[in-house]
Amino acid sequence: MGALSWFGQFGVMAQIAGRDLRGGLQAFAVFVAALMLGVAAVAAVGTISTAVDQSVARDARALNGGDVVLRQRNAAIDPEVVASVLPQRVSDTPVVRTNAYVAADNGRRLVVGLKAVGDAYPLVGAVMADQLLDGEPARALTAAELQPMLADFGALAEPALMTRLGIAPGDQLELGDIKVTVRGEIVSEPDRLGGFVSIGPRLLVNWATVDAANILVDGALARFSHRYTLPAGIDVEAAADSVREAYPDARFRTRTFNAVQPRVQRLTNSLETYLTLAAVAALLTGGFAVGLAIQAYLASKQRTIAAMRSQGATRAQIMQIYSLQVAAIVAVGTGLGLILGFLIPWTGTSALDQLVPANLTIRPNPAALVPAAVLGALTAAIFAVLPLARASDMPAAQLFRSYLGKQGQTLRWRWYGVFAVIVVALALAVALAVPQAGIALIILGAIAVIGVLLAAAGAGILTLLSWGRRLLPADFRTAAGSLTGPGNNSLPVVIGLGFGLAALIAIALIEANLVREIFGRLPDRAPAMVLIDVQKDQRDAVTRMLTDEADVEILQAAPIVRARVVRIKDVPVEELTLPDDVRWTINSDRGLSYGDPKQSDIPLVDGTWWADDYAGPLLVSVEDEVAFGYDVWVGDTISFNIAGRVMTAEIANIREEIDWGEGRLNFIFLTSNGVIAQAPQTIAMSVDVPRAKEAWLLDQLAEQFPNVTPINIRDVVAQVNAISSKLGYAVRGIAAVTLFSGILVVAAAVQVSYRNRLRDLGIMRAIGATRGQARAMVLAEHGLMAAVASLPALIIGGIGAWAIVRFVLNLEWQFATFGVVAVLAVALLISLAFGLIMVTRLLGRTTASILRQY
Amino acid sequence: MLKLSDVKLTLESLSGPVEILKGIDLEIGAGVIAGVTGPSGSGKSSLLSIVAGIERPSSGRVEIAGQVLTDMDEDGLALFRREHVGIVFQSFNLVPTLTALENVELPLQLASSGNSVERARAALAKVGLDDREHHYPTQLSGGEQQRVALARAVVNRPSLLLADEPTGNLDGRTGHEIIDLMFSLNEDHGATLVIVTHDPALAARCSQQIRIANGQTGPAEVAVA
Repeated sequence: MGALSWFGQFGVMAQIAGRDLRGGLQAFAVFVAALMLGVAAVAAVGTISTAVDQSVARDARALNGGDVVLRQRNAAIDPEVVASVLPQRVSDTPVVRTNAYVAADNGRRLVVGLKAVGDAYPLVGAVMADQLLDGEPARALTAAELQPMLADFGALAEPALMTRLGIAPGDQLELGDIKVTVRGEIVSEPDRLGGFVSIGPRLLVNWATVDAANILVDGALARFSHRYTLPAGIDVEAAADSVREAYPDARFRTRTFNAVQPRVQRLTNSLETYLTLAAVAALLTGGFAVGLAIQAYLASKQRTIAAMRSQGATRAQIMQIYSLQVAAIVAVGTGLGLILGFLIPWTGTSALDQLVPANLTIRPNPAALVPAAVLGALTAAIFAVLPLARASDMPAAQLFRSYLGKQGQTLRWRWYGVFAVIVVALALAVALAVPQAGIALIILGAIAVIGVLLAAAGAGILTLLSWGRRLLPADFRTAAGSLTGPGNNSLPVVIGLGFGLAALIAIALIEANLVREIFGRLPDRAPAMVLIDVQKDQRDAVTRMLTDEADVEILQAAPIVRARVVRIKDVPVEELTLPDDVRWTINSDRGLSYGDPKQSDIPLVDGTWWADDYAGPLLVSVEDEVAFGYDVWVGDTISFNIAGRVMTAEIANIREEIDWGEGRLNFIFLTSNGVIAQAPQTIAMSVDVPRAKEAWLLDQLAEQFPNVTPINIRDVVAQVNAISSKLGYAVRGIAAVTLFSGILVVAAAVQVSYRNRLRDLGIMRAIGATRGQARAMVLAEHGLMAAVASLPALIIGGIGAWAIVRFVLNLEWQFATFGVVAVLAVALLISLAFGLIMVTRLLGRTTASILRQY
Repeated sequence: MLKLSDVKLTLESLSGPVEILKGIDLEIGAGVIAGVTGPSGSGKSSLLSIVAGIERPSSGRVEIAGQVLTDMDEDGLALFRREHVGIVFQSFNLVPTLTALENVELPLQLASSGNSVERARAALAKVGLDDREHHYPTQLSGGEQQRVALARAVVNRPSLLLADEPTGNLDGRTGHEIIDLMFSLNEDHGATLVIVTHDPALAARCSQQIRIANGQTGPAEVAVA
């Protein structure tokens, strides 16, 4: 009889593996659940991320407003330029966005985000509108359908505008010199990204209306743009370049739709990276459950393996048989995880639409699902390889002994090598799966360090418990024996459950500090209103108006000059590669302030302030974080383009990082006085005004200084909180998955120890333990287990939260006892619940039947 | 001390009910050393389990030390065992996660007895294992494990000591040592000792021999003085 081919042998092994699985699938329930949850978390994050990417790519022309857009701040683009560029155009339209006051007939006033559009708007896509006066249901309006809605001083308004003014479609609003009629609600605009803070709800009108209203006065803050669509097949980038070449010194910027996706990705990449890694952490936590479940399964197969070994099965064959079984179960868990990971975002599309900046289309996407499957399989492999190796390498004689015979078994080094290779493969797979590989590897390293710290702390506590158990009451002494004695599985549970608890404790503490900041400290310190766009010649009059009123106080007033960084250390910024966290400072005009150095009382890191009467060459004070990102220090130079003129300033000092949470007017660049004072500028004022006087302030500003825009900081705080709480759902969702994975680790540990506890219980019952004593001993063990897992989790989660609150969020730290106690109480209850389930099952057996089994 | 009347035991198996004991009548006096012998599967260990209150008979009456076991619930039987019975198993049945000392201490803890550590230590010393008290069962030889089990069985000074083939897992010499120790301890305590054994030599050392075959006591239940 000839030897079987490799495939033939594989087939035989697969057949044996399949037969051996009969009736044993129940043992894999925890395994499948743990893997499914982790894979689902990774797949869900990936599915949403790829959906955002694809949706933005799909809608890039609509989001850009056309193929090519010319944009300019605070002044209309020269009509001759607008008319002459891009002669190959198919259509074009002007759009301007600004802030303006409106007043309802009932006397209420409000600052709105005004958007005025030409007749061809929208060039791409459609405006979704509802509550239209024509009585028709909600629908998408193309340019031709929108035009009559906006004609004759018609307008569409965001629902929030109508709610706050107490008006309905059909009502009129005063806007500048005219009255407009609201003809319906805006549901969405094709060129507007969602999920961002805005000043005032949107009011959409046409160009004729804004002209007639006469609100675009000189110097008003406004964003003008002119948008073009081009014929199909034309090279859009080349067309845009032709505009840039024709007007090299123009104030306007030319942007194509290709620039939209990278801009959105800069926002979403970090979020995707962090959420994916949080999901991987959940997956790894579940990995401990996978490892324990495999261990329990292989322990139950000891006799089978012994029988196979006695019949001549080699170690390699045992490895093949059980690896095939594990692979099959991994496939099931991963498959279910992928389905769940797709279904979660698919069913929650409506919630996601409000969270992410695009209209999402959720589809099963290999780009999201394949990485999740690979990460799931590699995680399972990490936790499966050593138990499988231990089972296959166990000497045949040892297999016939009790489970305790496993103690002291040494594995061949090759298995540790295989383990290391899989760990490296997982790290690489994670790095490939996220947009920011460098950050991913740093965070993975941090996760590994946390794992090692949890393991070290857990091992230390368990050792102390073992040494000190004589000091404990009798029930806890026996429980401590179960947790620390031979054959225990405590450490994986401490690490697995600890991961989940540490994540939840950290989130509870960070949230408590954020909530305290947003609802507690910030409103106390922050001004109620910030007035922007105060013209230089209005400063005295506005100041008088405010100081004459009781209870109203000007906290700060600072001149703002629009400036763009063009050179750093005399190198054009286009030639520099700046880190993500400071790149925003060179992308467009930023407001800088100048003059009195005392208006910034932030301590200096290096350098000195210029004298009050300094009149020499331009000096600049730079915030520390930006200086670090620019790689500049005291004595280096930064050049600014201010209204077309380039001014170079020498760095006089570096200020400590700004705490934006203080709610003050702050500037990353603060220059000395001098020629810059002649540049076009506005004044910003922060004002403390009681809520009861907000309406008075709005009325006064609208009547006397209609160009001044008040920003209600309370409203902004509310908007920021609304957005961050939506993001918080995602973070808390993944943290919940991590905790649930931790719970599955406890379940797996119960599964592993069930046979041992059954035997222990039989012995104890035989020597006189009552049911109550048995119950107390098991519950003491589970309570002790929760305590042992909680302690390192509390320390590590607490330190992690402190570091994030102090150094990432730059907030004051305060411990939040309630949240932490709640998390720990839940952990204790869950552990006790598992103990109760276990002991109830154990006590369902008679002592005699247990002793007969062993 | 111990009286069994028409004790029957039927257990359910996959192939239907199996009659293990078919009406045992038995009396063993206080302080007697009784040896129970019989072929494998005859019901010796089941009889011992019933006497220990671990197994409940299907019918019949079991009375030990003036208490009727057949009237007791599970916890009542546990309390009875704690107060009156010490058991030595063939497979030792030590709790693997507890040290030798802790295993011996366990019945004292369950009974909330005072000085449990000292008493456990003394019991271990009596079986010659005072230098092994912090070892786990896996770190002990079979003979040492059985000595720990013996110390655990007598530490509560039970009036009834039961041993189910106590030398079955030990080599001949170690087995002899364990039996000598058991007899010596029993002599000190004055308890009734019931030993299930295959060993005719051991049975011959007992003052009462009980032979079981096919779930019934044999015709020759011999009292040997």
